[in-house]
Amino acid sequence: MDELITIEVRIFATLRDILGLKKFPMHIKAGSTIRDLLHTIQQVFDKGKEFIKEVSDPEDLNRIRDHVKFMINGIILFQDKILDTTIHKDGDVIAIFPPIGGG
Amino acid sequence: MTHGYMGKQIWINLSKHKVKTNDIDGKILQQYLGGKGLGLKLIYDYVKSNHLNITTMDAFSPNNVLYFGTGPGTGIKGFPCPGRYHVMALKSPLTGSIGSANSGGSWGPFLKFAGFDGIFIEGKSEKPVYITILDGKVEIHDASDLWGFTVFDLEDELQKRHKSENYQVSITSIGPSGERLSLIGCIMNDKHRAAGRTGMGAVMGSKNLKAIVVGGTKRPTTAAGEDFKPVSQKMLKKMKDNPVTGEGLPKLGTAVLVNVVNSTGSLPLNNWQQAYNENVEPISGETLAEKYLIKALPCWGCTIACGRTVQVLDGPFAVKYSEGPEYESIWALGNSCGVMDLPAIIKANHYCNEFGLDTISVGSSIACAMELAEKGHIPEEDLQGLILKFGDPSAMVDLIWRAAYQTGIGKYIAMGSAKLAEHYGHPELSMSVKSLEMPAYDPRGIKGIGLNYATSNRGGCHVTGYTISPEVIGLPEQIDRLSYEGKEVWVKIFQDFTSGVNSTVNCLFATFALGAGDYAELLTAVTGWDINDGEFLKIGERIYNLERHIMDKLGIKNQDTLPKRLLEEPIPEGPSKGEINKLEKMLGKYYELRGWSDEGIPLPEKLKELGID
Ligand code: SF4
Repeated sequence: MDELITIEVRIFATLRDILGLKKFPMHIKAGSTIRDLLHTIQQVFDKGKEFIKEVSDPEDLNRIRDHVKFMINGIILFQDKILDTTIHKDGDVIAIFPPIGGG
Repeated sequence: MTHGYMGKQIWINLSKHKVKTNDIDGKILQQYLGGKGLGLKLIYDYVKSNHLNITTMDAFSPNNVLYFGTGPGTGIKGFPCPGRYHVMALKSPLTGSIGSANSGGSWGPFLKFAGFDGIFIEGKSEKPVYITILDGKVEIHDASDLWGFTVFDLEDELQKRHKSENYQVSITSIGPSGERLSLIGCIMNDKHRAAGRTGMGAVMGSKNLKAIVVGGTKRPTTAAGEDFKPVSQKMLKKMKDNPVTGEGLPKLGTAVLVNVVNSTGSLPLNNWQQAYNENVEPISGETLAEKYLIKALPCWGCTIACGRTVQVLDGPFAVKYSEGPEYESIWALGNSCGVMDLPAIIKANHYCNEFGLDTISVGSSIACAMELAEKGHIPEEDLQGLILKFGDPSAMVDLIWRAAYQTGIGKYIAMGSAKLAEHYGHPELSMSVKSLEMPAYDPRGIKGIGLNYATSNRGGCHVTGYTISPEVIGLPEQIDRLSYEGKEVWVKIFQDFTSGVNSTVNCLFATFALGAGDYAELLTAVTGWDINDGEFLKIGERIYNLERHIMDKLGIKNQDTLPKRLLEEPIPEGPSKGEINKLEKMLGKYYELRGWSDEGIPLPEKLKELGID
């Protein structure tokens, strides 16, 4: 049987306005991908679809929008690898940011 | 006269109260553009023609010079982010290196509207003075009655005195900090905009110069005339379509970075003893927007509008109206001091603007004092009853005005963390490079920015070569923040490019969307010169090398390093746990790439190649 792990999803800035929260725990199978994670978000939240639309490329919903940032435990994922990246460890923190800038 | 420029520079000798104006050779403009680059060239020529021994020269000597400069990108309607100006000084009192700072608002464009591109100031006035540059006319006025005014009161008074029906005026000035020669005193304009870094306010104070009022009805022209419009529209569209300049910065301002950088475990906490804060939310950009934001505020002519106006309605730190605080200020006055209280940070930021203190340097110096005090290195009597420990918002706010008026321990904080830490026998606790306090990115967790801090000509500065753009933000592409590979190339390109931007004198934030090719196209349309991207970067490289060359003459060499803490003490917790910065993995390669000696000095062949003699 696949091992179940608990991860924490943290969302930031304007993405918070959509889901109405800052962070939430999720129970997923070890080895799930970010794609799986987004699929679950889409299913479990009332505004999940809106959230997916916001982070996805408007031309290609199978791609993350440029400059939407995903981190796993502080490691920034490269744009073209985001959706297929797998999550393995209990306690992993997934952070999702809309486009940001500043200095 | 070259298009894009007003064609006139002002030269003021404050010792003699003499004013003259002249034009600059077009060839020099093409090599150095304006702002930072032209300022350096004029300073270099001044040193040579006056045979000054600048190694031993005091930063408060009348021989030190100040240059306020605009460029071909300033004050031109339709140019991306055209509302800035740059200040240079031959010697910074804080670092002993070249002084350099940049500010937004409307002062830069208004100087051009008054009919001038820049102001070169030498000498020292016997009595306090202020200068007006209004619609082509330059005058020096007695400021004895204005000495002692805060920035806000002074601006109100000078606005009253010089209001015109034909144009608006903008004022750049110093507050009590600059008057008292605080080494971290800055130059303020439009009340809340700061040319913050390297103690430029103190240089103004040492010359008894309180303010410069500018305004007028003149406007710069462009070589392309009507054909400038399509070029402008193309660039503004690029900025609008770019997620960072079209969406991130306008919607969220710079403060949103608090959560981003903290999430990478690279947000220095408690004077850089840690770099991750599990509970940073109370001071995040999101909290600022939710609780204290009034609205967004642009600099003159800017379509991004990243600035913020804020208010704190009640409590001990109530402020009716203020601007900022920017990301760096939230960090310096907040996380760096362990202060998780946004109203206190807003109040402290407001005081910094009112009194003319650099938020990054003063926040970091307070953090340094907190560590010194917690470790028992500050005698009780120096603290005058103040209990100084990380996380205390009242102590942090209190120390801002003590630093501004230099009372008690504020006297040492006003000299910056390097002198403060040295005074109490622990220089290693100053988190600075070349005595300039570093900003809000820990190079143990973001390697390239460490090489930039170490080699930045003005000292511990992020905007000299903002590699955070590729290492964190992901522009122009995402690179691995923890790798050392190829970082020397990124740092060099960003430093050269930024030198070009600070000499074009528009806002660096435009560069999230625009590259060297775009700048070349804009400059070609504005000035009529035919330049390409490679040439734009070459101009930047020339400027960066001239600055280094002058630093060599100032006696600044072998100082390209980082505080020991960052080289030896691993980050204790969070996503970058265990990391240090192995600077030596990058520095040698960087020098080689630059054509510099292993002391960090440009080699004669490099100077020759760039036309620097
Ligand atoms: S981007 Fe921000 S700082 Fe830059 S010119 Fe525009 S408003 Fe000013």
